[in-house]
Amino acid sequence: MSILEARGVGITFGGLRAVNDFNLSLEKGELTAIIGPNGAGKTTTFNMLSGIYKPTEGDILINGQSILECHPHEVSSMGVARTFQNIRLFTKLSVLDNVKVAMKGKTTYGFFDAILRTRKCKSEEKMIEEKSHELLALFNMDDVSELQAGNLPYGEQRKLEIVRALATDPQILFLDEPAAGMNEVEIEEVMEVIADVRKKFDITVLLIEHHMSMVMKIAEHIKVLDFGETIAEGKPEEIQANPQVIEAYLGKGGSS
Amino acid sequence: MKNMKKVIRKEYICFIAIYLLILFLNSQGIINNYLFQVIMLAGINIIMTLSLNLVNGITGLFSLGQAGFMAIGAYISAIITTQLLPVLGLRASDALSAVLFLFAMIIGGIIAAFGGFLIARPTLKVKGDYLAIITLGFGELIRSVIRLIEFVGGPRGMINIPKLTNFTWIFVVVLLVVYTSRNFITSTYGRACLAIRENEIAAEAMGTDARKYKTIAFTYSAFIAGIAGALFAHLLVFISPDNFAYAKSSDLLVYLYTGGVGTITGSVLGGFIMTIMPEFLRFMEDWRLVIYALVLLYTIIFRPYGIAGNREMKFLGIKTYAETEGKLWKKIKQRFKKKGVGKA
Amino acid sequence: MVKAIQLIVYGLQVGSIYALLATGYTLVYGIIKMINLAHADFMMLGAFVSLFVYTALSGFGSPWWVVAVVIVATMIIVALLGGLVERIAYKPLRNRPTLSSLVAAVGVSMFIQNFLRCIPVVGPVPRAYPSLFTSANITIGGVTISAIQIVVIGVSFVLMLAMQLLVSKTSIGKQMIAASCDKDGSALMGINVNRIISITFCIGSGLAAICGILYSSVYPSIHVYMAATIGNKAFISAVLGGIGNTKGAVLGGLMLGMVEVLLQSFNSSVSYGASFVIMIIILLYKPAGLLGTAETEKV
Repeated sequence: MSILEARGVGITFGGLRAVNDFNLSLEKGELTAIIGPNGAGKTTTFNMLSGIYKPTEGDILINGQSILECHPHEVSSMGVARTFQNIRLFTKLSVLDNVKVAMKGKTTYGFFDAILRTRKCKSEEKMIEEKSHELLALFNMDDVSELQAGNLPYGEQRKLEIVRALATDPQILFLDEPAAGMNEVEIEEVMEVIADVRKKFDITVLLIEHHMSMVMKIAEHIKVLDFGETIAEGKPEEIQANPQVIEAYLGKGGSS
Repeated sequence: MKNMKKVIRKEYICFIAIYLLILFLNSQGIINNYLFQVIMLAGINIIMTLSLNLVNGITGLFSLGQAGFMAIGAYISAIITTQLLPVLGLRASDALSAVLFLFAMIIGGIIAAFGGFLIARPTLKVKGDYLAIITLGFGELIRSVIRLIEFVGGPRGMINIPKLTNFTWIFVVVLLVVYTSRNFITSTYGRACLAIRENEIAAEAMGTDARKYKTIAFTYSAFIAGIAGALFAHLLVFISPDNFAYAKSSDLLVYLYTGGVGTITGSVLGGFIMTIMPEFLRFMEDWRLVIYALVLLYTIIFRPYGIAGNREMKFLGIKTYAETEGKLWKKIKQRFKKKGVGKA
Repeated sequence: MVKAIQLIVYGLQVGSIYALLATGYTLVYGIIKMINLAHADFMMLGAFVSLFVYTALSGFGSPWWVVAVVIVATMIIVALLGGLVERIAYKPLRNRPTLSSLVAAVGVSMFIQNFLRCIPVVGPVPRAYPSLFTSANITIGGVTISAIQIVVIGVSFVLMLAMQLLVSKTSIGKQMIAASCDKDGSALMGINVNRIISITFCIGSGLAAICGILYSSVYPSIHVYMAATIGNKAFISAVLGGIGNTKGAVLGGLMLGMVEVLLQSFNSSVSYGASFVIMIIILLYKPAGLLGTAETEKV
């Protein structure tokens, strides 16, 4: 059973058919990329897959369970985590707090435990503190844990979004343009981070990206969207050679 | 860790010292009974401001109806004590009355919390701007309902409420509310509320049920407001729907924002200073609200973090990022230094 | 039957004032995405300013042109005050979260009300409002309509129509819509966004001022806190109809006026709370109001 399945998913906003007949089957541990020109419906698809938008047709199943009636936070508890195209960090909170918020699922203490600071609350808080530091350290971010998230440099903010997403212990990670606005060196770093993530955590990754060099290097499967339609899918080599894709998007021969 | 413990203990001694000092000054007549009552009212305002801070500052919900919850707590607790005290043959000074008072306070708080829950559940899915008018409407609705109930005196108000509130009660409750608020803020509940304030969509994506936590924040703050209402009723001995009008909610807004929205320190400072200050500016009595309005406008435009500047007192153990400007704070510090050195 | 028509006329009169005030709320909200809680206080300002202008011209009696001067002068003065308030209190907060603007609005409202209460020219005591229009009544088939009611309904409708035309047909109106959709984009297209925002505020305040004159003509006792109740109801009307939508404001206002009048004929103390309850119920089913379009946040 595939870990995530989308069947005939489509969504219409007013008069605009943003996504039409989107199908996807993610197998555990794979890295799949969705590419396409701007406005093709990639982020809209992400938003549907993570429960923020409700598709007008089709079904989305995570581990066999439909998420159509679920709120985003419920979808999150089913094992989906994501980053956002425009960084959505909790800017006024510390780096550590950003991660701690995502670790909420690991705590079991209730409201009265919280306001009276019972032993249960204290020990679970200690656990979260340690786990958050551990996670940050894995990505060399522990030294900035006390800084305000909004004050981090751009690349670090993108990295923090990924770390925060990982704190929810997800099975599937959606990365929405993690290398947006970055130069060659920074893109290499992002690729390392993603490779790190896949090595240390047993995670399935779904990626939206515009930097073709990155996509071609790390993706195992690629889907190409244009005006909401899936115009091609397959392995990187197949996509690079596909005339329709080249016409719609890649232009001259696959350079980013 | 040991340093932390030492700091905490020093603060505890401070609290006890302040408590004893005020009581002593009052018994010696240095703080006359009128000023003493003002200090107690300041304490109640601190509690109300802390309640507003939970909703407004921590969770980012603009509520203009805290006065309504205060009214519920005031009236419910007053009904309980005025009905039960004579039945049990107690007078206000009896020890058992204090127990009854505690009971009445808590019931008042619970019913106020229930009111908060009722209003929160359906309305938290509407846009944030609308919440302002809905909470305002709720406060007005409560007032209209109270006016219709003859049993509690309707528009004329309720009299002969036993004077069960004293300085000790207020002091203890303020400390308890500060303690529980701080615990709330540093727990997952508080972090969830802060996350919702910062970026609700991201919070949801990280597994936070926004509606649930907004409701919790709202309900808890309503409970605190209800407790404050109970203390209020049993201090003033007479309450009427006019005590809990929109003017009260807007006053609270002034206290919260001038003190420093989002911090416990700010709420305490704002509630205290803005209650005490008018007493020393008695000659400007009529202009009090005009001054409040100007202070509020000045604060929100130039010093959005208020007097506290997004700083928390160290012993609270809450991590905040101080507003870097802090020119006003520096000015205040300089002025105090001058006073100590220059003048006698 | 007669009673019914009487009630309808009464409802229209109450409702058209709400609708006019609501149009002001909605115009301002549309452009700066902020609910100006102080809007109703401009209505109160309109009432007082018109009182002063009228008193200043009292030497000339009450011919129609004096009334015209009073109305126009009041509109201009209050409109300018509105623009001034916007520049001082709201403009600095434009790039901050809306919570700050709401707080500022509370402050502005508090200031206007209490400042006027303190200065001797106005004072806390209610004042009598002069009768600007004739107090004649017309009786058609048993139904008595006062001239004032006709004036209120008539002027309101003319102004609301004017607003509709302004927004849809004129260049300024189109600029207002553009600025409300996308400030930065409009600026890039050569629209002076600051100017448009100020103009919108001035228009809104001017509308509120006329509401003040009309309202005071019907209930000729004015005081500094008069705006609160009506303001809330007008705000509810705007929200009901869909905030940002001028047609919705009219619809909401008229609806609320009718409902209120009907409820009042049954039980007067219920009607105030009822308007809030109605708004909550409608918002539960249509969170963007009756004619409003839900704004989806870009994720």
